[in-house]
This record gives sequence, C-alpha cells and structure tokens, in this order.
Amino acid sequence: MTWLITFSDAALYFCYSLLLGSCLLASLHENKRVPIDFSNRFLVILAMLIPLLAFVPVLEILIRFSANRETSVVITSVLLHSRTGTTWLAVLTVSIFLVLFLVNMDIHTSRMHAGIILLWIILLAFIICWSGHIASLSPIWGYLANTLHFISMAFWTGVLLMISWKSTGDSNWDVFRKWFTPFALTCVFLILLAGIILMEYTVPEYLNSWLLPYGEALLLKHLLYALVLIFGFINGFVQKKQMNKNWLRAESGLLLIVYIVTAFMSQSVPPKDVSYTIDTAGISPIIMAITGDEWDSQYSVGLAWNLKMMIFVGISILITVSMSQVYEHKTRPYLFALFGCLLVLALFFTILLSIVPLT
Amino acid sequence: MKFILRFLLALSLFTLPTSSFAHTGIESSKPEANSIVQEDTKEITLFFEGNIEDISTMAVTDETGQELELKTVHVNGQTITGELVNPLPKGNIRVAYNIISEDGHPLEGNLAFQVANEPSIAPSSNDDAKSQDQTEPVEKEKEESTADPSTTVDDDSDTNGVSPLIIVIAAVIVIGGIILVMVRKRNK
Repeated sequence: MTWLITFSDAALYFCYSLLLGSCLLASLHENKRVPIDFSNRFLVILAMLIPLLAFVPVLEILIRFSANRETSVVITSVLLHSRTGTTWLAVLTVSIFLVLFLVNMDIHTSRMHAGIILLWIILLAFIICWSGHIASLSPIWGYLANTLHFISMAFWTGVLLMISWKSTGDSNWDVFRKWFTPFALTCVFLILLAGIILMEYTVPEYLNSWLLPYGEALLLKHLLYALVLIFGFINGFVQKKQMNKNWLRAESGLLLIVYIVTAFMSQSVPPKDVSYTIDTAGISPIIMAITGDEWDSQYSVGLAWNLKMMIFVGISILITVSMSQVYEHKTRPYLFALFGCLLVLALFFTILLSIVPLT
Repeated sequence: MKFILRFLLALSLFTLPTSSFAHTGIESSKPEANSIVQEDTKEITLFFEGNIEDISTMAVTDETGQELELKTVHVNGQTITGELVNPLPKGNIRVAYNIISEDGHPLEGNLAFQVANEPSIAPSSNDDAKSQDQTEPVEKEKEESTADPSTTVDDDSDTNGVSPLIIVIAAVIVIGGIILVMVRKRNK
C-alpha cells in the first residue's frame, strides 16, 4: 500500500503540474509561446484523475479500519472527522467544479476563461497541501511554504512538460525563452527558498537525517535537483538558439524521478527528532549495511574519508568524464541524463559511505 | 528512461524501513508500559507525540488473550482514552492501538503492563466477591447498565483542522456555482 501511495502521489504531482502548465500556456497570447496542441478532453481527464489519485491514501485508512467496524461508520468517520478524509472531500469538490468549468469554458479561445481556471487550479494546490506532514507540524508558515513550494514546482515543471511533449513546432521559441527563462529561475528560487524553510520544520538535523529513509530520500532529491538544474542551464543558456525537444524531454524525464522521490518522502517519517525516530523506527537499512548494527541513537553523523567512499569518488570522477564526452556530441541527451543519474547515485553512496559516528 | 526508473525503484526499495511508517510515535501511557499497577483501573490513556484522528482505536486483552470490553474510546487531541466496562483483572494486560496521525499516516503498536491485584470492585456479572465494599458496587452496576453495551466512538469537536475545511468546501461550492452560472449565461 505504501508503494501504491508513493506512485499515486507522484502521479498526482504529475497531473497537477500538467494542468497548471497547460492553463498558464493557454492564458498567454499565442505570440508569447511556442505552438502547443492539447484538447480540452486532455484537461478534463487530468482534472478527473486528481481526486482519484488523491483518494488512495484515504482508501488506505478505510481499509485499515474497516476490519473491526461497520463500513458506514468508518466511511463517515474518515471522510468527516479526519483531516485526510475531509481534505479529500474538498479536493473532490474543487475538482468537480474544475471539470464543470472545463466543459463550459474554452480555454483555447478565451484567455479570460483560461485565467479563471488557472486561479481555480491554484486554489486546488492550497487544498492538496493541507494534508501532509507540514500542515500538521506548522499549520501556518510551514503550510504556506509547502504550498508555495508545490505551486512553483508545478508552474515550472508543468510548462516544461507541456512544451517538451505537446508542442507542435518551434516558432516563437525566442519570445518564449525570453519570458520562460526568468520565469523558471524565479520558480527555482522560490522552490529553493520554500524548500529551505520546509527543511527547518522537517529535518532540523540535516546531516543526522541521513540515517533515516526520509533524510536519504531528501539527499537523493537534492542531488537529482542539481542534475535537473544542470539540464535547465543547458536548455536555457547554452543551447538557447533553438528548441531542443529531446533535451527538454530528458529534463522532464528527470522531473518524474524527482516526483517519485518526493512522493516517497511524503510517506516516510520526517525526522524532526532523529535520535527519537531511530529509537522508535530504527535506522535505515542502507546505513545498517554500511555501519553495522553498532549505531547508537545518541551518535550524530560525522563525515570522514575512507577507502570505500574513495572507490565511489573514483567512480564519480569516471562518470563525470564520460558525461563530458557524451556532452560533446550534444545529440545524446537521454544518455547524458542516464549518466547523470548514475553520477547522482555514485555521489549519494559516496556521501553515505563517508558517514562515521560522532559521540 | 525506463531503466533509470527501475533502477531507482530498486534502490528505494532497499531504503524501505522494516517497521511501518510511524509519523506520530507514542509518548507515554497511563498506566505506564511495563509497570505494575496496584490500584483498580478502569481507564487506559495513551499519549502520542502529535494529534491523532478520531477514528483511532484501541483494544485491551487480558492474560488469556481474551478481549476486554470497552465502554467508550475517546480521542482528544494527542490522547486516546479507553474506558473499560469492568476494572482490569489481575495479570498481564496488553493494549493494542491502531491510530492515524493527523497527516494521515497509520501507526499500529501495543504495550503491556501488569495488574497486581484482583479488582476490589467486582465485575458486575454473577460472582460472590462482593464483600469488600457494599455501596460502591451498586452504583457501578447502575452506571454500567445504563451504558451502551457496544463500543461507541465520541465525535466531539475536532482539533484536527477539519472544521475550516468544511467552511472551505461550502465556499468552494458557492463561488464555483456563481462562476458557473455567470459563464453559462454569457455563453448563451
């Protein structure tokens, strides 16, 4: 069930980003964007998928509690008296209206309609973010930071996904790039800013959090994010003369991986208090394999050079060299992305292998 | 890309912790876990690190593994309280809990403690140990007879951020409806 929720959450981020990205593009004047082709039905399907995907965590609670109680009691109790259930009801309500709007308005011909729907989709983000760790850890600032993080992510990745997969040509690329580059940079800045604020709440002990699955996923996400930014830099500044669909697609593929890692994090314990979490849930299997069972919850994480990690440093250098070779041709973006992922993994293990206990 | 996805999947499978994903750990309980209880006990309270949802439940079993009937299970913020129909019998008592933290994540677990003495207030059903206190058992019996035999869940005011959501849903329906009506009028 946990894996199902991880994938349904990742798919939720994906659908939401597509909706937001396509409505933003539709609300712009045609001269301002590359030609894209998507039907209203595409958006309606996305809008219907959102409450379905958001239902999976509710379903988990329903299944878990239906064993020893009457089904009707469980359903009312979950839907009306739990945050997860009620949030889902709100998501459902907003989504139903979104579908009705999409059926009754035409975002392709009316930019005002596109604008209304855009605002409505932003409202949906505020509701989706109400369930989740941060909103219960810090109902005001943490929640707002989380929502900002989510919306910035969706604007940036949504537009990127739409133009890399749904564009029909590269006319207006120059005009598009001129606004999209600063727009994307703003989004990246907001994502980083909100992300750092969020980390204050979820991982106050960043280094120590690497002992737990949540912190490891966050480290992996940060490394992947750096890779995405490298792709963004290449697409936005290096190869800016023309539209390179495959490079854009490779970048959007990496985003899907980031979605999955993020969704995994939404399913694991945020290590507010690492030693306490270690005592109750234990250290992660990776750290267990690296350091043995000797880890005491009172230890904190130190980093030190050692032979095993040096091997991974060597591997990382090797991959970096290969990446520069691949990049010279500029025609193999997918291979470049693959090597990038390998580099991320190598660096990930380099860091984890250098962990030593500090007493 | 598929390869990368699969590779990453394999990796993250590896990082999966063996225990369930606990978001709200148990902080303490009354009676305390692994303690020896001397006095009569009819109420068990578990304290959690964060708010828990109303649907959370607990079950109490005696030494023989037989489930003891709970009169009510009451969730209030970070605590869940189970009130028993009869005082706890002597022996090992096990409390199993199945809770949902406010952010929607389940946590199951159990704890045990020991009851040192048979209850001085006898269980209400037919038995002969009524010699100790004459007045109190009668009162208790009355109380029990009026109580609902089935376990009831208290749904009082919630602390879980649910009520604002109901308002939000209502507002969404009103605003969404207005926009829809206006748009349809214009389309005609």
